[in-house]
Amino acid sequence: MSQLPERDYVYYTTVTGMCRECGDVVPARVVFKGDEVWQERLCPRCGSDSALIAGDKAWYLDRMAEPRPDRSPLAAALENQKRRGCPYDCGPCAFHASECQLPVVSVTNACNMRCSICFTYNREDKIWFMPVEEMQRTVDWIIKATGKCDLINITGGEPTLHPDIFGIINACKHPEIGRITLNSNGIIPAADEAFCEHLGELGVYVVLSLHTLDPETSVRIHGKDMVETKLKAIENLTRAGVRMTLLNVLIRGENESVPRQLLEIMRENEQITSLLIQTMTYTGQGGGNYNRQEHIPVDVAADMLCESLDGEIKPSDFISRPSAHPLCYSLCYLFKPGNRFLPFTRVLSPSEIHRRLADSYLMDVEDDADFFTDIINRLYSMNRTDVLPEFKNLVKRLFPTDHPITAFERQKRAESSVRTVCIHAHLDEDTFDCHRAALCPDLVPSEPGRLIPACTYNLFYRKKDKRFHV
Amino acid sequence: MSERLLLGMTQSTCPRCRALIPAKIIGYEGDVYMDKFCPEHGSHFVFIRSDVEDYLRTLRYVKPALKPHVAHGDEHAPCPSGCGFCDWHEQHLCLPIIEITQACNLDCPICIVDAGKDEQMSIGEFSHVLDCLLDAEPQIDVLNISGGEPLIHPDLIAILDEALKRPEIVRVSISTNGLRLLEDLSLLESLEARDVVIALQFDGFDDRIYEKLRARPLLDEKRKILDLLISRDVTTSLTMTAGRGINEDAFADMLELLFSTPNIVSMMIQPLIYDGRARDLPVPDKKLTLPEIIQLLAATGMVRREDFTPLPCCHPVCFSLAFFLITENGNRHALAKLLDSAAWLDIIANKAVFGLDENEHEAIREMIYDLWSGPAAANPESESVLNTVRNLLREISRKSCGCFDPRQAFLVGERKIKSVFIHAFQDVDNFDLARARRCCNGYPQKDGRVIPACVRNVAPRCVSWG
Repeated sequence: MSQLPERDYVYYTTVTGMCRECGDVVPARVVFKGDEVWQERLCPRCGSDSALIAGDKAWYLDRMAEPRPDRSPLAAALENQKRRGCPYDCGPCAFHASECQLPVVSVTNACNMRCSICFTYNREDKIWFMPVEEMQRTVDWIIKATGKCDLINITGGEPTLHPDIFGIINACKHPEIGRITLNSNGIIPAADEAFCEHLGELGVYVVLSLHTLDPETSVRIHGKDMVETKLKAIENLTRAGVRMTLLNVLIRGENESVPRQLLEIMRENEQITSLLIQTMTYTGQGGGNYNRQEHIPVDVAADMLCESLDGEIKPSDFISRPSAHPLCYSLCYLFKPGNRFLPFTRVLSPSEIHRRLADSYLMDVEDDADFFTDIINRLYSMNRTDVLPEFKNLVKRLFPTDHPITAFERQKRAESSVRTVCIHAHLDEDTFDCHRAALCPDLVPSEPGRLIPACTYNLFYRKKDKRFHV
Repeated sequence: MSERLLLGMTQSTCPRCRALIPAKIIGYEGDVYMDKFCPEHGSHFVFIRSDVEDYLRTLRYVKPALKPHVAHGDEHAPCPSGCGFCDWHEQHLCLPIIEITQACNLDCPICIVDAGKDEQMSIGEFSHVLDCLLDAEPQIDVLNISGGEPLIHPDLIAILDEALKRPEIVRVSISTNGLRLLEDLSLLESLEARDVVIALQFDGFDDRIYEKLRARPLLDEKRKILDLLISRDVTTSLTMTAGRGINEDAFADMLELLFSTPNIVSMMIQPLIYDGRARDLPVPDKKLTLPEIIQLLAATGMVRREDFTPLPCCHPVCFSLAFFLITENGNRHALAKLLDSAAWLDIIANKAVFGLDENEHEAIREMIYDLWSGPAAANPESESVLNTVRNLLREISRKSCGCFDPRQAFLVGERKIKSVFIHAFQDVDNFDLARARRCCNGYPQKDGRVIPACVRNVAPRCVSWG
């Protein structure tokens, strides 16, 4: 008797996804094809299409089995209004499962670039700059909603085009806000040293986008060669004492080796404290130059970075971010004793790291000398003579025996020896998953009182935001 | 620990209006809950299953599915309203359950399908249903006839013959309360002549159980039915509905009955769901769910937790099963113990019934070689296990005369292998679209569509049928 054919995939589960064609929220199946994990939306109206969401099934299953807390201390903005169900009630609603760890505030939709990789929707004929008073109000209700905030991110458009960007930054200065980060494409920092110095005085961290060091690739990504400008921006910001994160949008077949180059730049430049790799999303006004089917999941991005690093950093050194969905974030914390990178995971278990992260982006350095002594002992037993002397120096600086230092000072000194590589996969129409959106800790303040998960905002709300679009 | 953990998100049903709504799957105090939001009826936080660790482990039991030849459903209707199955359904149909009548001679307060109406399926309709099934499936290992009470259908025997004249249908089972068998011995003879498996509703050995589940004492009649089936050596499986505060203490007696009675080949345990007519029953704080049933079975000392494996044919949290090999000296051995889990998964993948197709027999042959080096080598009785498997295969090859006949294989296999299945039906509280999309048990409708069992039982608001 004839047998039924076996399918060429293994069904794992069904999530709530989105249709790229009609924008509806539709079921999407998660399936294994060989070792790969794919999400395939099933739109009754427009049919099916799929995107890679993890390169390795075993990694995916392990990460999915790490339970995430379901808690949101945020007040539900729409508590007393008519609700439609996730993801249509973001504000967030009572369904949201994460606190707000990073408010992302768009202060303008103006931009001096037209990049093919841009994932936001803006209208060039309707340029808007956030009034400083609105920023003040926004910060007030963010603090009201979150209590305190380690970080606040100012973005755009290109936020340095804001005519009163320093007014905006000053409006963020608040005892409850730990750190202000400012996104930039580097054009103004490269052109204006005084601007950089002002940022340095304000203690602002700059998140500088840097996607390639190759002029031809730069033309494809930005429409023009930006390499010299970007390097000049790094130079100016470094001279001004501004701390930086290099932000790399990773595009398959285009700039796969760039994260490794940026890692080397970070090794040499003490002002660069972290590397943020955002895998390419195919949404917003850009994306058209590239093949939409080539999503890079976070585990594959880690593989790309670690290739040819001779084991200094391995994919297994990346851990999840406890307050986010495992497919959205992968983090690698590095001690940097001297010129070497020593991943935390070599001397600490993931749970020890998570405990010290305390639901934050930032490491919590407690007054805990024993803990660091323990790490030194572990390094001895591993015979890591390459990093031991520098590491012992670090501990001496953190816990000086001759004079006491404040917790704040200790935090600062610890950070001077710690680097971070963060891989972040945003959602687009192909990869949208309500589960991921409900866990998002990166929230966009929208109309007063509302905080909307960043990707949900991009996909469902930005085009309705009268400041930028409608 | 009272922290809530987010394990996943799906679409479930509103307990009040049955609309499909977003649901978070939550780990809380060691158990699994759903947190759902209905735009009309607000939030609902409901217990869905014990043992969060077991839940997470179980999700890993996955295997490739088979693709039916045709799809009678419509993927252009929002899932699950186009079910039939549609082209996007994630499994073929392993067990068709055909309800040939809505009439019943009992009035159980737990009836899922709300039987009692006087509607019968005609032979013509039944034949059309079979034709549609066989368009999609090349072979049906077991066709289940259900109801209502199927034994009161006036044309039951003609219906059976209509099924059995099709060589693609290997075996027919009838889900019955058995009462008609006491009234009409010739009916039982007719069933025996057609080698029908009697799937007998049997919930325990205490009339209080029957009063709660079936609305009247039935133990005497159940015992008589059992005696009748035993005395005539009729191949029988037991179907037990298990509920909190009803028959949690019945498992030892049920297992004893299964293992000590040669003609009883399997036991299907169905945790009581509070849907259909049972929506009016008082719902316990925590329903009795699959992982706890395995614990209760293990607590009898007759089986072990590890003997049970989630069934990756359907969604793994829907089914769990254990196979026991009965050796010639009457001892039993859990098959899961004898095999490494990978080989085990291959055998149970895609089939709810053991021992039917040639690939599976090939797998059994492989088992023999594995047994020499596997865990059975440490088992004092491994020699007798081996003999049993050898004899099993010898009998299969002798009876099949070199030409493989699945119907014969079933006869040989079933008396040597006993199974305990647990089937966790969904109700409006724990309905999970991710499970429903993978369902391999379905109700064929007169129009040729097949509705997955739980889609049919829960009837999300968007769904309608025949």
